[in-house]
Formats: sequence, structure tokens, C-alpha cells
Amino acid sequence: MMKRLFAVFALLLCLAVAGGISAQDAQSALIVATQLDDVITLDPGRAFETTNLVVHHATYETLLEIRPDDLVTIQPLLATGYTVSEDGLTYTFTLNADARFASGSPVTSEDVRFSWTRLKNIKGNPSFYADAVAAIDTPDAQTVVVTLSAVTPAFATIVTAPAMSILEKAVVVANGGTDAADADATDLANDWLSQNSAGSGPFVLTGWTPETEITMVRNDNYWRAPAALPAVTLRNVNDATTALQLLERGDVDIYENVDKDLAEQISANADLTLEMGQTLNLTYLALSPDATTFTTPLSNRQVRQAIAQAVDYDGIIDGLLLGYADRPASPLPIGVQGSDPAQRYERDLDAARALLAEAGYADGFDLTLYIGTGAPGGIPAETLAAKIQADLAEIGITLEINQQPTSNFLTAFRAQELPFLFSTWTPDYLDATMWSDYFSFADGGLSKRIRMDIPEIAAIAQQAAAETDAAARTALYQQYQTAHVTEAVFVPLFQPQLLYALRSSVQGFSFHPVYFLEFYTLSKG
Amino acid sequence: MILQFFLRRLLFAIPMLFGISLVLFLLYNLVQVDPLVMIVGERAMDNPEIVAAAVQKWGLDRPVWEQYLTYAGNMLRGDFGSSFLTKRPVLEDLQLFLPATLELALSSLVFAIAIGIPLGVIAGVRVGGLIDRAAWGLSLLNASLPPFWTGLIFLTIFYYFLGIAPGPGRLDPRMAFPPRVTGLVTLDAALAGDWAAFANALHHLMLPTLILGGFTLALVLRVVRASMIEEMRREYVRTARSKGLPPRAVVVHALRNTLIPLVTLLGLAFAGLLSGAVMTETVFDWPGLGTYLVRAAANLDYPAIQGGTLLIALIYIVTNLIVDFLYGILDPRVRLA
Repeated sequence: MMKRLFAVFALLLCLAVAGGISAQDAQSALIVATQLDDVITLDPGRAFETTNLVVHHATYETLLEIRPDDLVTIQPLLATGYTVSEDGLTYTFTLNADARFASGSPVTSEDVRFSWTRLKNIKGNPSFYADAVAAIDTPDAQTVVVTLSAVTPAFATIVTAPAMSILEKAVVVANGGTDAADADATDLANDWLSQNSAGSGPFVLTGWTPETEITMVRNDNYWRAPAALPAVTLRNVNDATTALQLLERGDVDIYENVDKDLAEQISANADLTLEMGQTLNLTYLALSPDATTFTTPLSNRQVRQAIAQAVDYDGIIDGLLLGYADRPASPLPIGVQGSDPAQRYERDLDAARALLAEAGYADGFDLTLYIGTGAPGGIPAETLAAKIQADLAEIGITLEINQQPTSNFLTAFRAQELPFLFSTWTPDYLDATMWSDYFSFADGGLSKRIRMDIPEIAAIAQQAAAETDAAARTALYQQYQTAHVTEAVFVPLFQPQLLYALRSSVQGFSFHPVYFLEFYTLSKG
Repeated sequence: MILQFFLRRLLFAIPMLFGISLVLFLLYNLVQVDPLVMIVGERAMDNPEIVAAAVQKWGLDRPVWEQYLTYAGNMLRGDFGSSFLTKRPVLEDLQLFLPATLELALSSLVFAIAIGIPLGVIAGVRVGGLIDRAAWGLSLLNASLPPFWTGLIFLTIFYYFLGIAPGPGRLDPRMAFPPRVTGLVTLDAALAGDWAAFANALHHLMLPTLILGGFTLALVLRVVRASMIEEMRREYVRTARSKGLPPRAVVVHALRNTLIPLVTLLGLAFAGLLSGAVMTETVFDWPGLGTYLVRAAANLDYPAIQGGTLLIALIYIVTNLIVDFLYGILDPRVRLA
């Protein structure tokens, strides 16, 4: 009996070893080692995480787009162009008559109306993209007339966001979708759209296995030149060292979000290429100016300015991020309209001590820094907090670090209970309002959470958001940055860069700060 | 008779499960966390319409006791609610993540039994011999090395340097998964007649089984060895020997009596393999129950924590039941009691 058991066991083992040799097919597909644990759904009307963006960019298309090589120019995609009415409230898009979905059907104005109305009525996390849309008219199959509820110069940029993708109405409806007013309860297309796509992009989604992989194949009906890659697989790999091993052995072609400690090793390997992507993400320090609820010295502007001049920014970027980061002056990241790094704070301990003395805190004071868990922007929260603690100690501020699980931290942050913290902000589209809407007003966004009520900043933000003249708008955002620098309520710590390691056979890499990778332009030699 | 015994034990499990769910619910409400943090995204938080829709959908505006009663009532109907994080029904999530764990646990158990029992017997019969000492060292090593460390080392040696083991995951990145039927990739591949995928999935089981099964193997080996030593000293063994029974038959006699402690151990070990393989799962990118539950706990995803904990409690209850049942088969005296 034991012998037989052994024989079976040995046979299975042989079979298992042999299995390693057979899997040599599908060599031409592109495999990306990444982390898929954030994916909840792949329905463009519901998804609001990170990984879904790269998938949606590959499988769907928007009316307009912003290319990775030019982040300021809005270019045509499904629409050949658009016009804006005199009062700024009506946008008229003309669709490209050649545009086809993967099914072969033409992209029509009704598909646009359906997609955006559905997005809005699902009342999901990405529904805010359609907030500005009051009505959509479709006078003919090629024309879409959008009426906005308020003047929103950012609208053309918002249209480029993956959440504003156009879905093929017939396919979505056939699989349970609806754009009805009660779509939040009656739309049943989520399951289908998480395993399939209904778009016009260069790839078609063929499956998603949670925490395992997302598979896409080339759309052979693509209405422009078809993609070079026959298939793309995003593969979940948790450990950084293992991801590099998979890449070095050629089991994967791209390793996304490379651990910065491995950068040197990758650069030294002739089979691999290291690529860098400058994100528009922000890791910031928030210092509440509120004096009615909070009783910290932070309500004194000079104290906030002193802290902004006490932080050792270069030490953080060079020491903790190995130099792979930039740093803007205000919440507007470098690359955004009106942002100019020249105005940023530099470390000046004498000036910081002088400001503290002037404010009446020559001997310093005690303060609590609230943080969550994880690694905001690439540095473990506790490491970054310890660095800030050491920096502030030099001007006499004794920092206590209060670390909680991120969900507890976010609960307290949203409940307006935290006067001093650091956190991150990532953009969903590239207009400056992506930042100014959230860092300015007493009644909304991150500014509300830390009880910031500074009418000057709010007024500029409001004016800039509604300014339709590009030059005047840039000038307003410059003013906005200056006001922020003076107030030192949100002090940027760094704007991280993402690293990608590629097999040298992979060509055509580009990086986009919203959707990251573009598979359409990639090829494998 | 047996059926009655089973049913009675299963009925006892129901109040136990409700007790566990109540304790979890109370604990969760002690932690001051707003579930909206998980449910509503950062941007959408500013839109009162979206927040109101979420509050209503998830019943967060209702009093705490009403929330629990609703939950308990739904539980009776087999509805465990939806995860805050994945937004999918918890039962669906568990069906998604349990098979990966089950596959690895079964393969680890088979490995531990197939290697552990013979080694334990030899070590117990020839105490102090070469195999005994080697087995002792092996089990000590296995019990003391953390699996996330051995996992990374094994991957580096057997995958990266030697290339005789595959990388992490359940299948090669360039290989297509067989259509999902059971969720056990080996079984699904066999059902689909995809033998390349079957062999590949088996190959991928090799390293994590060595690591996870190695720990159980060490336990099995020690228990079998200890009980063998004890049994070999008993009078019936002496009698058997003196009446001239061949040594092999004597060992088989003794082995039968070591099975009771072994079955107890295997029952607990199997339940442990199902619920506690988080480290191995993480290193090998194995999307199992441990991974799911750790993420649920880290995000205070209440319905997922509840559902997962109840499932694990159920696994322990059922395993204990089976162990008790096996006692009866292995030892007639238990049946009489």
C-alpha cells in the first residue's frame, strides 16, 4: 500500500517537473508584473482605483486625449474636434466617422450620451466626472451637444479621463446595463464589464481573475493602425525581488513600479532597461490654520512657515527616495498650469528659528503628527514621520507621532479631527482644478478636512477655475501658488517618480501621469 | 445512530457560529471607523448625493442593533452581505479565494503524510539511527524557519538560479488558465483535458507545498516517531515478536495504534493549513483565503472579516467532527463510549 502511494507520488512529481518545459507558447504576448490587489471592478462606470486606468486606456477610448509626450495639448481621438459656445456652457463635439467599436459597429453620438449618462446615474465613485454635465443632445449620429450646469473650462480635459470612455450601448444594454435615472440600483452590467470590454480601444479585455491576472488581446477590428502586441497580460506579483527575478529570467517583460533599491541592479544589467515616469502625485504635509477647534500653535502663520523651512527636503528625496522624486512649491505639481518650483521652501534653520521666536515660541513646543500605515508616495509612513520628527527637533519642536491603520486615519481625517498630518493626492485628469478644487475651499476637499478657511485662496481658485482665457488662467494659478506658499498650510514634501524595468526587447515605452502605461505604442523585438 | 450523532453536533455549531458573529460585531463597533472610508472614494466624498446613496445602500443610517439583526437574519438565509472593499457578495469572494488555499492545503497534507509517516516509522523503530537523526534535524529546521524566508530562498535557488522550479503564481504567466469549474487549477485543467496546464499547475504547486507541507511534515514525523517508540515498548509487541511474527508485520501492528494521535494532529493541521498560510500565499502570489482575510482585516472590511471568520470556524467544527468520526473507526472502544 505504502509502495503504491510512493509510486503515485513519484509519478506526479515527474509530471510536475516536465510541466515546466511545455509552457513555451504565447512568447509574443507582453507580460507585466504589477500589483492587482486594488482592482474591484473593470466597469468604467464604477472603477475608481489605479490599475483599472491602464486597462481602460487600452480597451476604451475617449472623445479627446492628452498624449504622454505633450501634457498640455488636448488632441482629437473619437471626436475630430469640438467647439465651445460664447457663454462657455455648451460644448459641441463632432465624432470621427471612421471610429468603430471592437464589434465593428460605428461609434455614434447615442453611445456617447449613453456612456456619460450611465456614468452619472450609477452614482458610483467616478460619477463626479460627469458632475458638470446638465444635458446631452444628439442632433445627429456624428454630433454631441453637451450643456454644462456651470462654466467649466476644465471640461475638455475631463473628457480625456478614462472614466469618460465611450462604451458601445448595444453591447452594454445586452448585458444588463442601463443609463436610467435609477441606474445605481438597476444597472447589472458590472459583472460582464469586469470580464469583457465594450469599447473601441486597440485591445479587448478577455478576463480578470482577482489577485491573479488581467488578460487582453489585440482588437483586430481597430479603426486605426492595429497594435503591434498580439496580447497583454497584467500579472500579480507581490514581492519586489521576485518580480525582478521573473523579469531577469524573461517570464515577464515589464516590471511596473520598481522598488527604488533595485534600480542600480537593473541599470547594471544589459538585458534590462530602466525607465522613469514623472508622476503628478503629491505627498504633502498639512498644517491646519484653524484656531477655533484646534489649539495648536499651527494657527500662527509664522509657525507654519517655520516648519516649512525646517523640513530637510533634500534629505527626504535623496536619502529616502534615492533621488527619484521632484518637489513643487504648492499643491500644484510641477507640470501643471501655473506651477513653478522656484518659489518652493528650502531648508533654512536660522530663518525657521527666527520665525518661531517672532511668533513667541523661541523655546519650541509639543505637537502631534497623525499618520496612517503603508507607504504614501513610496516611503513607509513611519520612516517619513521619524525623519520629520528629527528635522523639527532641530528648531525645538517636539513631535509625537500618532500612527493608526489607514482606515482609522482616514476616518479621523474626514471627520476634521486632525490638525497636523501627511497624506497623498493623485490626479484623475490633468487640469489644474484637479488640485485647486480640493486644496482651497472651506466647504469641500482636503482643505475642509483640516478646517482651512482662507478666503484669499478660495477666491483665486474659484476665479481660475472659471477663467476661459488660457493666459489669464495661468496668471491666476501663479497667484494661487504664491498665496499657498505664503500661507504654508499644504507644504509639498515630494512629487515621486515611478520606475519601470523592461526587457531590452520591449520598445516604445511612454509614461502618462494619469493612466501610466500605453500598450498601443509598445512592441516586442 | 451515526447520522444522529452528526446532526446533533452540527446543530450545536449553529449557536456557536452566531456567538462568534456577535462577538465580532461588538468588537468591530468598538473600533471607531467609518465604513464610508472604504465604500466611497476620496473625490466622491464631496458629492452629498453619492454619499447619501452609499449610506442608504449599505444601511449605515440604521441603528447598530438593527444592523446586526439584519445581518443575523440574512445569515440564516445564507446571505453574508457584500464586502466593503471588493463590493462583491462575501460568499462569492470566499468561493473565489478558498479553492486556491484548498488546493495548496490538500497537496501539502498529501506530501506531509506520504513522507512523514514512513520517515516517522523508521525513525521510531531505529531510534538514534541515521534516518532518525536526519529526520530530527529536518523537522527542527522546518519548524523553526519562517515560511516567507524559506519561500524567498527556495524561489531564488530553485527558480532563479537552477531554473528547475517555476516562478510564483499558480500557472506560468504565458499560460492560459483552464475554464474555472472547481477553482482548483489542477482539477480544472484535468477536467478540460488540458494536460499541459495540468502539469504546469502541478509544477507550480511544488515549491509552496515543500514549504507549507514541510511544516506539517515535521509535526507528523515527530508524532509518529514518538508514538512508535511508545508502542514498540508495549507488551503486545513483545508477544508478537516472541511468537515469531516477522519484524515488518510487528511494525504494521504498532503503526495502527499510532493512528489515533496522528488523526487528531492531521485534523488540526489541515484546518490550520486552510486558515494560516498567509505568508506562503504572499511569497508565492497565491490568491488564497489568508491573503483575502489579511487584506479585509487591514481595511476593517467588516462583512468580509465576519464571513471569513465564520468559514474558518466552520472548517474547524467540521474537521473536529470528522476526526471524532475517524476515532470510532480506528478504535472500537470509542464507539462504545
